[in-house]
Amino acid sequence: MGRRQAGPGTRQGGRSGFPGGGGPLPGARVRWERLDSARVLLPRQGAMRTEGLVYADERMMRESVDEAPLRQVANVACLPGIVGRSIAMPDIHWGYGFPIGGVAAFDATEGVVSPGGVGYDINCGVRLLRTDLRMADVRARVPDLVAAMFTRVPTGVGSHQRDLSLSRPELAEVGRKGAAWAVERGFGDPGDLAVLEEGGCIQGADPEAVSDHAEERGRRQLGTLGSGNHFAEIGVIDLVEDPVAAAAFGLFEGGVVVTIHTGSRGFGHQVCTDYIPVMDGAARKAGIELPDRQLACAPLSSPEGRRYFSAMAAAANFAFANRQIIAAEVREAFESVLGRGWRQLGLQVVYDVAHNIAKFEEHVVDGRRRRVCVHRKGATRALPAGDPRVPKAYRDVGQPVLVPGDMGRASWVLAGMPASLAETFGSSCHGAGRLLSRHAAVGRGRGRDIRAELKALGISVMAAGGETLSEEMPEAYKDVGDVVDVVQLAGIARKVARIRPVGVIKG
Amino acid sequence: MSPKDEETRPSWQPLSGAPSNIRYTVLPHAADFAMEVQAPDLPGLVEACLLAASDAAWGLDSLVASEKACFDVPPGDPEMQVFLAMSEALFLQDARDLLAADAKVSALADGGLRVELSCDRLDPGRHRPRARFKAVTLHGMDVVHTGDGLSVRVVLDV
Repeated sequence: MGRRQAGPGTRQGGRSGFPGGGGPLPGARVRWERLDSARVLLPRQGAMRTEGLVYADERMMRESVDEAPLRQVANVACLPGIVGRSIAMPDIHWGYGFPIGGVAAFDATEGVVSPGGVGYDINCGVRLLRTDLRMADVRARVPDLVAAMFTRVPTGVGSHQRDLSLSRPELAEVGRKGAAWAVERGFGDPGDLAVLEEGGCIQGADPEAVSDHAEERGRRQLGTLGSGNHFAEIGVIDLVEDPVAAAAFGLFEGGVVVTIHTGSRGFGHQVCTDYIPVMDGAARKAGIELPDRQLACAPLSSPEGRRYFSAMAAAANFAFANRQIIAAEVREAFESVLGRGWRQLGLQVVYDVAHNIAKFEEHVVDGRRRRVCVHRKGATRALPAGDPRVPKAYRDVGQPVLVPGDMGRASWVLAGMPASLAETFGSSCHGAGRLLSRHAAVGRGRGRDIRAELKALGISVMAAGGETLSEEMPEAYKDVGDVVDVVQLAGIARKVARIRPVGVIKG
Repeated sequence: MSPKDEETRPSWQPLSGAPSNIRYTVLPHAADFAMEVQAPDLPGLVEACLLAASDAAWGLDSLVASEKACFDVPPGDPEMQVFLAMSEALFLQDARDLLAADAKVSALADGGLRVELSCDRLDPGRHRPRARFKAVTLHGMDVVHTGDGLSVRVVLDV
């Protein structure tokens, strides 16, 4: 039983500060102070166990960061076992429990794990493929490439892979092996695995911790893009800011690249859904007072916490396999249109990052190396040069950080910098961040032909959903350029190359 | 500009075939999709939440009941019961292509709820999603008494 007995035994009167929950400071605004041009500090206040740190410039704080996500940063700082600060990246916006753009680390033995700190789409992430192609040589074929991708990559809500319906044992193997499972079945080659975060497989997965419901949802969805803000996009490198790092990543001005943004589909959503009630009960059992029920969490050392982590890792591995298969579908699309094999086209994986994840990592905190569970919800790992976890090919320049923007302006490839390890548990921003809600974006798109507007910008778009293009219109997002300016200013990551979209498929 | 400056609150929506005191409205300032639902009692509220989500996603008028699905929601606080019932309906949609065209919810002796759905089977030729819900959240959910019944706000992940 929860806070009240079943039935209509409910509280009379108003609500507790929706959205954002009551939080640690009922009735009060969150206090913050500017540290420098890129950082804002939330001093400890109310029940906060630590400070909050938000990366944002003055204009962002004035125009796009309002009270609700700041309160969420403060809420996260109230959770037990938090190590260091409760952090938010410049693409911060309101999320469920944790803000999007949030990073928080918890002590591996005394801390908690929270589905709200990972998100519903477990291991939603981004994969970047590069090619030897120059846009000038294939510009006229872009609509054909987009159409070929749209044919091969199932898109839209509830989309299914007709050729890949998995048995329960097969799905369990996907959960254990991640991207390697897909490679074993001919989707790509083993070389791809060397340039995926964690090699495309989070350790600690246990398919036994995954419900029958999650398995049923995931069975037909491997190798599918989904809907919402997920996409596969053909782009051109239109600006190189760091030629050495760009060369290491195989990127050059005028070069054609493909970005894939998707996650664990219904499988991950169901894992999160299944564990919210479990964690809600576990939090009560552990005597954890939650400022917002969507922050439901359990001690990492508890059976509930361990079981969620195992299921979450299986879903993360499903997502790595999903992006591996979609990359193979994209390669097929290029082969069919251009008449050459993907290896001949140089269509190689640059990197693959998770931006909704909880992972055990070692970090130096207050001069001491500690094992922590880092939650990144709408945040990307961003390790600097020299870190042994960076693939060998990139170790001299830093880990690629993939930051997709909206479909009308640009995306960025960054490289991790030392301040990420010093301040953010090796993390950076993950995207542009929404400026308009989906509802507002649809309203603003009414009467407009977004597809035609994008075509006028030289961008071919195919989408499965009728209102997707309005929901995802460029003006629904912050300018990703502003976001990456802040992380560069803060020394978390530096700009390597900018990608301009030319062809997009959406769910 | 803040999202909340952008939006205005749409009007209350009636639910096809339901009494006029069961209704919902889409809320402003939601990252994904938020709605407020009103009904006279808890079974009615859960029923209305199920139908409101289906109406917002597909339009109840486009759905033809042809298959049944039945499940029980365990005893718990009302927010968790709303969460569990709506989550199960989303599971049926995503995994089994069953779209709720009608819902009947009754109270069980142990405090649980029995949910009986009349469903249409997803047919891409007939059904075009107006909103694409992937999960139900507990974010800010609070079942409260109103003058003539209960009200709840539900945020759905898109």
